Amino acid sequence: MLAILKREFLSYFKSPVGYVAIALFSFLSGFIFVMSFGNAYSNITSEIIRLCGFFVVLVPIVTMGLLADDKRRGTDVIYYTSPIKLTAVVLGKFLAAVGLFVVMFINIVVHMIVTKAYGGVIDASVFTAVVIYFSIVLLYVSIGLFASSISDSQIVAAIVAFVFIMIIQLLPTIGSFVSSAVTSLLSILGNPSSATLNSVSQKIINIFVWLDPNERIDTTSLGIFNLVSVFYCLSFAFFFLFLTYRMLEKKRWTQS
Amino acid sequence: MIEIKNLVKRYGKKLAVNGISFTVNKGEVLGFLGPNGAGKSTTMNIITGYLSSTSGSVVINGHDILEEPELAKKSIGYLPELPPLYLDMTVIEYLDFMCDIKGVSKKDRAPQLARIMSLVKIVDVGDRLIKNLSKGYKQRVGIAQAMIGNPEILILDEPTVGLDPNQIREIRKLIRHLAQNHTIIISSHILSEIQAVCDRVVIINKGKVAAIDTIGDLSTRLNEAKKILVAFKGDEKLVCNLLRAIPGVENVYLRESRSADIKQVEVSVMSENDVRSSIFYTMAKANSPILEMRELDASLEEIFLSITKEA
Amino acid sequence: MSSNKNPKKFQIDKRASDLKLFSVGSVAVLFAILLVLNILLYATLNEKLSFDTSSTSQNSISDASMEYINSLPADKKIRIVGLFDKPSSIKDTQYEYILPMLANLEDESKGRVSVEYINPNTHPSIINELDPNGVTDIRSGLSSPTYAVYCDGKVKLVDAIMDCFNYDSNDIEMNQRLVPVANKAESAFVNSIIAVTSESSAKAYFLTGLQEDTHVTFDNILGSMNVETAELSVDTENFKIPDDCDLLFILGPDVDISESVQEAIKDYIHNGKHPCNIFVSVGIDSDNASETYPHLNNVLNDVNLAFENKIVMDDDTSNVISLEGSIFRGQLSDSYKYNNSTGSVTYQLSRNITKYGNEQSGLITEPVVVTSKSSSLVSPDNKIEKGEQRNVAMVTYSDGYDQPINVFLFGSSSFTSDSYFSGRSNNDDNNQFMRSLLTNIFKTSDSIDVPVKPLLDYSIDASKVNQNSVSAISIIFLVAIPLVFVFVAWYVYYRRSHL
Repeated sequence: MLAILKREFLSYFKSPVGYVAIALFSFLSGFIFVMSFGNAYSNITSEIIRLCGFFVVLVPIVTMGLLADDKRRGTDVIYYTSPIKLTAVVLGKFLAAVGLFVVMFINIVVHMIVTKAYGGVIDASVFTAVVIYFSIVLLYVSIGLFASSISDSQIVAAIVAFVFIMIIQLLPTIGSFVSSAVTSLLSILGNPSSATLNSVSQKIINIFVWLDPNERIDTTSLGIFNLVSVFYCLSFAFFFLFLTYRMLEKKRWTQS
Repeated sequence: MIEIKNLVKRYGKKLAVNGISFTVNKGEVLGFLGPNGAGKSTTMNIITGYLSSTSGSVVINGHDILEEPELAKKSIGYLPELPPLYLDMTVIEYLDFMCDIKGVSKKDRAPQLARIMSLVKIVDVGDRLIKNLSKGYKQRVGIAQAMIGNPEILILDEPTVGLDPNQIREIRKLIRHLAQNHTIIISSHILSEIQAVCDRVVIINKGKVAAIDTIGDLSTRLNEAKKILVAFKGDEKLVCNLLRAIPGVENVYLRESRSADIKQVEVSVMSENDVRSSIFYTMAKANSPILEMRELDASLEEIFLSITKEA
Repeated sequence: MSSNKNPKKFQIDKRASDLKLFSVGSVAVLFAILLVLNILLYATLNEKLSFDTSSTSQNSISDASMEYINSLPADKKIRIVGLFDKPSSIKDTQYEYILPMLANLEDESKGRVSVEYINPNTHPSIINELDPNGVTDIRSGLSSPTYAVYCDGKVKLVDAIMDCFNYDSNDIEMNQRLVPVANKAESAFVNSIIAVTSESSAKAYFLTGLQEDTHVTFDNILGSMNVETAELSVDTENFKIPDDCDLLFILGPDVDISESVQEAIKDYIHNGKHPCNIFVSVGIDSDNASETYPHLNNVLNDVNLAFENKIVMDDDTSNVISLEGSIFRGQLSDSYKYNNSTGSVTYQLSRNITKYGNEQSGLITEPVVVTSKSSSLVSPDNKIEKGEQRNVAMVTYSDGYDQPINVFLFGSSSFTSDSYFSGRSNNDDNNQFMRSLLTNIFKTSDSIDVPVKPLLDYSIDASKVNQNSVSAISIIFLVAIPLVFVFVAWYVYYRRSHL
């Protein structure tokens, strides 16, 4: 697994992809930092949480080539015919992409140093924000890796990852759509009271809000850190990695 | 060594491989011969574990590829049709990576790489980006990667396709050298290639084994259907009749001529009769100068036809 | 041929379809397991695994509050009802400091406290539910978002803006602007809970109509001791100190009391409810520098106390905090040190407090806060009297057991004014001192010390942020660093493509 990790991670730096991603991240995070700096305050927790909104663009860029490229170039033969496990392949590529995000994070460390130099505040909520930031990174990168495994085209992989993450960002909106759809359906079918309609609609909205990882990270910027959220992100990151493994293993039984 | 039993691979309704069985013995060089689409690459992909068969078993040194995949794959070095090269790496970076993948220990690495690279003659391109290499060099890097870890068995799918004659000669020399210490399976659709290096041949057509033979026996069969091409000037009807009369000649077939005065005939010859001197004298007597006389490689179709006729 | 094919095909394909089933099945099972696990975890351990990481502890309630709440009987039901629609997004609003804290309060109360949001505009019946007897302003229409804290028929209102934060009094005075400086949401709610869950034990009155200081801090402190507070205007006809008055505050009046008020207070001291406690605080500032308060002095003289127009300036430089502002450190007398580790308090612009006349029998007059051995007095005409030890606060109390009285006279508003206390924590020396004094007087053991919390402050040193540094930082982070990476990308690509 280390071999794969090393190769994929270094390949980010042999082609423009890695540097472009880092440059983009530097610019975005720098922008947020400079905005508040100009107003004489610096809230690193808030900055970290807001950066999660840009993952919808950053993650597909970083992960689109991970598996799609191997399929297209035929180098995936190496994974199936050498004495290495497919789990090592999945983990190696996953950690390489996460590693790139760790490198990008150095920008934030620089911001923290500048904040401290100017007498700003770095409190406990910053560290919890870092924990939850990387939980989200793990989740989104695992989704991106899965997207990369379903096709041999990098473009398709990027689009699928983008759509997936977009859907996640929009979960609350989707929730209100679904709840209004369901309540109008119920109104047509039966004749329920407005109280039941309200509670049903509220419950449906609550389900979607609960599913949304972004909702959980918002509370982190208020200073509330919840380990259950971390577990949520990690468990579904594991799920997508498992799914990716199964996709790679598909060669064993596919009839087409 | 390698035992293949009743391999079947289905793609939708089509059966790419339909009941292939054979064995490969230690130290031999086995040829896989068959036209494009016969199922050679699919079979090799299954043997190496890239694909999974719909049914049937592959056992390598006693390890079933499905039940003990790592042990089975450890003994194999594979060069697929499309060499699995990372274009964004240099040759040395790539081979180092393959050493990592195949579990070559750090201290063995330098000597092994040096040996392999000099054998395959890629030492002078070690620091070049694989993307910038010519096809010939790329192919050689592919072979190098198969050799890493010193696996007992080398499986090479069309190792000389797309190479120029010089390169082809080099590769064949290399394979013969490797054959001294490895068991090798080579696939090709060019008969002469197989003839040049292999001990035994498995002939595959339409997903089935058409014949399994040693080279010697195959040659014999081929000689049975040997053909000589004669290009000449003169009256074709007369020449055909004269040639048919030569003892040992089975048939004479007039080819379409490209030009008005140069004609070509194919002379089918039976068994080991060397009728070339007779042809010379016959043509001389008929005042039809021989412009060219050479043996034709029996086409694959003809071999199949002759083989399946017997079967 | 075809009839043979089907069973054979079935046999051959079985392995593939088994593997496919296993693959898909394992994915579905894993998904279900993870979903269930997450739901379970959320349902059971969500509160336990939530941590308040704010540097100001604004999202959790203090131990003292927790202790009090859990000392109530388990079936006590306290409803906290927000009389407005629950705000959907609380970031960067005042609710940031309130909602998470209330949620934590609800969790920690183990079922005793429930928090809900019912807008009276959509559900008017809630008004009657909470305040059937009309004891609060609920009915008159609420101008700002208000919570009602209700228990067993008693209700207290908590204004989400005015009651939950301390504001900069200068900004209010000069700019009519509300600038929050501290977060006392927890204090406001917990005190209301205390008020609705127990009988109040005492009542304090604040004398108004004298251009006096505000008394919000004392409202809080006394509220936590379950002491009810009310205002008593000097303009009422037939002015009299009420019979239920346990403590009378006269805080920083800019004008003197009238003669009738003077007599009423003297009457209270001699004939009113005992133990009789009076706190008088007489700081000096531009509004009252020339006032000598003859009537107020008259009352105090009755108990051997007096104050004059002269400002106390400590000559000992170790006691000087700011000479221009006349801010000094004063020493507490031994019996008033309580838990104060430094034994000192801060005062600004203090009048000179003196003992007056001969001690009457049964009364003891002693200093509470003193200066160093050498302090000057500065008269309004800037004449200076040179140094001896002066008093900045004194007390007269009776040592007899019938008619016990405590009259405290503070020379500086630093001991009592809201503008001093707002923004300072409960650990401040003056704050501790006042609390201890009051606790001693009311000797209640169940007053709880709910901290006033600072606001989140992410500001950086504004003095270093100028045009140049902002430009420099902008250029570095927005232009230089990304360009460096783009350049490296190009360079690496260029070098490697030529390998």
